[in-house]
Amino acid sequence: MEKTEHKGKPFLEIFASTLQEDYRFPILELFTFLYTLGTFIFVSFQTYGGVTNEQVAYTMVTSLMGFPIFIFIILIFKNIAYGLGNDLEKGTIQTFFSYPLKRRSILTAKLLSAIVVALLIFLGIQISALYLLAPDIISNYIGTVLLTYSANIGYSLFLAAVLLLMTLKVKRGGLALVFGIILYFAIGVVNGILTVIAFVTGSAWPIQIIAVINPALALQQHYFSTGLAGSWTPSFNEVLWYVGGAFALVAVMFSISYVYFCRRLSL
Amino acid sequence: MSRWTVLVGRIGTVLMSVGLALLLISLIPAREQTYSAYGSTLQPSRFFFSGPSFMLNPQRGIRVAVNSSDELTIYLVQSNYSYISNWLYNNTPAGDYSRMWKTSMLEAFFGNHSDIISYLRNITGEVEFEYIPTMVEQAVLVFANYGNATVTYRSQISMINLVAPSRKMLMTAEIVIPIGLVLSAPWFISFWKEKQEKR
Repeated sequence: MEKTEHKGKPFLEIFASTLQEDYRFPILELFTFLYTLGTFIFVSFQTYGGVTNEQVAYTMVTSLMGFPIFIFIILIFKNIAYGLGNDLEKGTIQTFFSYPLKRRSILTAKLLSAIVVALLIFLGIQISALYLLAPDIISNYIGTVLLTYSANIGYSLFLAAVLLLMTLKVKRGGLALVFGIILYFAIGVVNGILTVIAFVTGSAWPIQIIAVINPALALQQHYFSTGLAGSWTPSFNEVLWYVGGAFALVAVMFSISYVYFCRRLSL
Repeated sequence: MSRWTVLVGRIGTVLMSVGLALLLISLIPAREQTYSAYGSTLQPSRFFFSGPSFMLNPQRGIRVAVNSSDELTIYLVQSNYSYISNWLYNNTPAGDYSRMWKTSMLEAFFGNHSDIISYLRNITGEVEFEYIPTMVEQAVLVFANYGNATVTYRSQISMINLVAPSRKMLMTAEIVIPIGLVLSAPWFISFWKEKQEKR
């Protein structure tokens, strides 16, 4: 018990200090404002002939989080690349190493602030918005809502994990941020190329490849099979596998980052 | 400045920024699409449909303005004209189709279709109401005369296209902003005092 208390305080110290650094006034307020504005401005209940309420729930959640998830990615990119990257570049992280804590706890405190807090704000606003806009859709199709969020957040966390690895490798804030932006657009371009291949060949595999890192595509095919990937319409269970696979990939990426940070990182 | 003051203060400022965003959204005006007014007469114990069915959702509501000479009951039913009229046609007893538009048949229809009424209101004179659903639903307007006198009425339907339900937004902003102000006040005061001391 005493040992836990002894370790808990330095952990909270680092967490509090990182929080203060990541969310300086008025950064947090500005991002929250953008989250809220984006959530309500871009929401759509666009319906087409014969669309089921489940598809409407999916469309609504996708439109609701479209812009805010972009803001969420910017925020975690800033926190990881600029926050952690600058700590590594300027050597501030050495101060944290002097605390009676293992390196993995230091990285956990950093990631809690950089990703988990940003995610909590994002989800807090999104869930409140869903209940404010369409409580009946949410209560009736909670499975669809949760799966849509998981699929989209999985991809964002994958980007965050790749950026974290890059940041640890290059140890420079600005450079890591540039890498992050390039990564975001590069994946977008690759996505586009594979989609064109799927369209031209009528084959499902290019879309299936993207769906491994971005399961939101599998979910989109499940609800609205676009004909881009031939007749590939994954079942709900298949989509669950894609989402599970994406999260497993994210877990592996973060584990590699932890191992690198704990054993290989030299300053 | 204690960490609790900072934490509570920042929660307050976050609530204020959420409230301000909601306030801004609530100021975006709704776009209205008004259909031409329609007038009719309803015999006692008869009902009538308002014409086409509409597809409503939380961003697309309906506003109805009615002026009636006597008491009239208005229903907003989650169905469409063809479904209801087919049901009435198939369920009119012994092919007596003169009874098809009797309020007793409407009651029988409602008895067979639970939870189908989205909105119900008894009106007399000039009344205006608005309905914005919380999910996607079909809607058809039904006027029923349960009284003993013939009723003359005139109705005008407008579709309201909103970015978000502005009343809810405004109400939430009105709650969230003052809470945010109260929570952040001690932090702002400490912040200001610290600045003054530094000077």
